[in-house]
Amino acid sequence: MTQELSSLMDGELAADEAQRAITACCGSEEAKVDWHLYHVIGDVMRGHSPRSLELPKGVVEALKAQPTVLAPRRIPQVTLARVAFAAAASVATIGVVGWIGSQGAREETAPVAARSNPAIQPVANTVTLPQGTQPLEVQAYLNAHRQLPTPEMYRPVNNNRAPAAATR
Amino acid sequence: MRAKGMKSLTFIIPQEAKKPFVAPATQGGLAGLAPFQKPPLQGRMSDREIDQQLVEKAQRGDKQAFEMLVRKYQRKLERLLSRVIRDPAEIEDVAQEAFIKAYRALPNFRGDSAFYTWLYRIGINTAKNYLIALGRRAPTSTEFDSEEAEGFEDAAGLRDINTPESELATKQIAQTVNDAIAALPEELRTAITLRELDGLSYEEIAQIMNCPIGTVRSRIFRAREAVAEKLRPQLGTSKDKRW
Repeated sequence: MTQELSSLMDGELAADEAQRAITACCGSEEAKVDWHLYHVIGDVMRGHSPRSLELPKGVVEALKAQPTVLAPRRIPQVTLARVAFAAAASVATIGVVGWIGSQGAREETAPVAARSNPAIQPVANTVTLPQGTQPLEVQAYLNAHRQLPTPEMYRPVNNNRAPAAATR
Repeated sequence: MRAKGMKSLTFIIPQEAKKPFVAPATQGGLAGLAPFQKPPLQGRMSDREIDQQLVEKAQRGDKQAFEMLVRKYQRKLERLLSRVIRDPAEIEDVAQEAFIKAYRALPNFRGDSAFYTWLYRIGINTAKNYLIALGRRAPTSTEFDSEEAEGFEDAAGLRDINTPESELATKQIAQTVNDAIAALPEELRTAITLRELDGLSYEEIAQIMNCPIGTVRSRIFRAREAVAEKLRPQLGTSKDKRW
């Protein structure tokens, strides 16, 4: 473990190895003391001898007394770009599909045969009555063939009244 | 290179305690290179990326990760603050306050700048506010540019703030480290010196020492472990005593 720690402080570990070393060091008091001493050795060699070898207990104790900070997880710029690209692509797709759909709906007003063969024209939408047909006759015809119940059909039926022929 | 605004300061720390160890192997052209100035190799996690990983873990509620950042930067921040504040006890207090402020502000840290640059600004602002609260003159903003943060390690004009007791401790720590490095086998001493003083990558060290990268990795680790073992009694945490 300590050899990884030594390589870590020299920036000589690959990213995944460094992650493991950092995690291991954070969980071990012994490793943290080694981390401390290795940095002191480097400082002394560069001419910066510390006034004391003591661990920074004051800071560590004050740190323990602090409420734990929790920063919101940062979204990497690459992820943000991907999200923006996906959103733009979605909007563009919806727009294209909508436009194609509207074009199709406009064309569907004509029958398929008419669309495929311009020579075939749709039949007229309005119905013209044959000559000599009276509107009243038509109305009577429709009344006779009405499918829906008419108000007359809801007349109350008197079941107690016997037929006149039977009472006699 | 002397830091801006520090020309009138005096130095009391014995020079032998401040003098960095220089191995014979690096006294050629390599010694002039500044450490941590090289771009990271492909696939390797750079110093800044490691800090960013620790920050992100802390932002997810892992206080241990922030503690690792404290252990890494506490001495550097205190050296920085010593340019503004004289009293060592005050420096410790202000550094502690700066770390706590940084921890509270972690949700706002987006990684646009390096963690240490951000911590540097918080430290300087905390020190200025501290001095203003005491009715003392705070340094102007032009005396401390944020760009200084990255190159601060090389600033030699540090104010001497040591008391006689801490001066002795400083000297003792330096002596222990230098003696331990001098006692290392040649290949271990060369490897750790090329790394710590010259800032060379393992690949570059492997080329210079004509050995595989894995060997360089092992030599640097063994060198650090040998020196750390000498320091542990001063820390009261010998490997035998611990766990």
